[in-house]
Amino acid sequence: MAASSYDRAITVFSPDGHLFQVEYAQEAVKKGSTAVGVKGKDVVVLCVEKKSVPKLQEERTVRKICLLDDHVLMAFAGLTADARILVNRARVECQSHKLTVEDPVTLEYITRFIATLKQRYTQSNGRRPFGTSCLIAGFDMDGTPHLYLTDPSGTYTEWQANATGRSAKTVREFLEKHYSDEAVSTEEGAIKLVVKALLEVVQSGAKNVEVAIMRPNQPMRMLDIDSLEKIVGEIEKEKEEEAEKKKQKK
Amino acid sequence: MATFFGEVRYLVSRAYDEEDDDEDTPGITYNVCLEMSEGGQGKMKSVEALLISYGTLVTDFCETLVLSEQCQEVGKVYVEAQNSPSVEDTGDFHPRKPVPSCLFLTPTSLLVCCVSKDVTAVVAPKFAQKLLSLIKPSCLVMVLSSHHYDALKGNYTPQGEDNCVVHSLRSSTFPHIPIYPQLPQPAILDSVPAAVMTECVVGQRQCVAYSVFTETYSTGDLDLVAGALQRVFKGKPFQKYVSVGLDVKKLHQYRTTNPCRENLDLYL
Repeated sequence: MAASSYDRAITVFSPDGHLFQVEYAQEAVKKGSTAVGVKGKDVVVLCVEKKSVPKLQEERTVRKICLLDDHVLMAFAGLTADARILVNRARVECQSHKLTVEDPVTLEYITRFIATLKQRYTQSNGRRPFGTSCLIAGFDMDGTPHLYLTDPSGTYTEWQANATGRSAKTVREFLEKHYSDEAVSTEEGAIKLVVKALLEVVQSGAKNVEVAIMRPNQPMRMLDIDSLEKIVGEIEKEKEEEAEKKKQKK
Repeated sequence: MATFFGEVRYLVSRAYDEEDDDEDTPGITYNVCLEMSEGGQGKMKSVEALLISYGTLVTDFCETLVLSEQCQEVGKVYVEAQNSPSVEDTGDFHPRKPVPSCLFLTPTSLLVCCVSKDVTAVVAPKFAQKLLSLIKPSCLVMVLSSHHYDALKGNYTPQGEDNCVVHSLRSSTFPHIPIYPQLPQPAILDSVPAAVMTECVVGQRQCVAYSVFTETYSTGDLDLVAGALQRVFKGKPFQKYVSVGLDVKKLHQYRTTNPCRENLDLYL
């Protein structure tokens, strides 16, 4: 199929129903580093692959996990600048909703807002889609945890666990195999699952991983490096033991 | 009909039976030429192992972490095209010159060949033959590749609990067990890695190929594979030829001096 005839304008469908600019935007998402999210019984955990920063760069300016509101977290993959715009708009919307309705946004509401914004940019002339995919996690007022994923086309779906960015398929396969309600019934279990999933594709160790945890009615906290190294150490030990068992079986 | 330069050519009708009509236009043929530096040919006798990198990611890895200031460039491998369309036909007055594949010799007698992207599948068998003719039959050969016909397919099921991104293929004479598991079907190698493996199998050489599969065609980040490829050099038998430490500063330096890689900072 000659994509070149139909991929220059966002508003043009190809004969077989593709919007190539949207698909190219999804390719941009795959260039971003991996972000993983897991929803537990009373915890949501987001884990991202942290890019190693140059020596002279301020690490705090490179953030993949953002707070949209006290109870809403977001991790993204793809174009950094596009994500920044989305985060700003979402934050404003969260406060506007709180002022107007006197209630904090629900996760579904803010996800739908972000997805609607993304969709608008797939149907306008002179614009291009957002090259970002977002994992939005948090708790509603009633304490129910949610995890949503949006993509450049403007679709959004709710998940128990998912990943986005580079190698998302590999991580998703891992989560499909290892996710269970028992595994994520505790905070420690959920954190371990999400770190283990990310370490499937991030081979550099604990230093390139960042974990954000949120519980109902509690502020978000980032897992400190010592706890992370301990968890990574446990995971690597378990892997070695499994490899040893396999060798013995052979 | 008028050509690009405005001269008029008369079209020949196929109804006409012209005597000179039987000439077939020859297709493009490729020649692989080797150009050794001064003293380079003599140093080939001391080579104990050959490392071939094919694909942007692994070439970045080799150039950044395997090659050092002590390495010496000993030659280049060129691919020349013959019977290619002339300027008149293409209208391209500044045709791109193919980039040669450079050969480096390390102090540990490892010959490193960073294969240029201009070495395509068409010329891969000749390229492989030329390269392997430089070294002794007893030399070890390792191929690192990150450029593949396709990514691992969606129906690929992991062989075990691990779902690593690096897989291996080896010739029957390779004496060691590769660090990474065997490449599962339906994944395939093609082009230069396949040609080298074929030559080594036919010539009974000790050869192992490590292929890095990433999920999309738009690969570009060294971080993803650097850790995985490091392990390749920590195992036998290549650990004695290369001591690879993941020096983060070197990676950054490589990124900052290579302008085409800077767009990686756009993505997070």
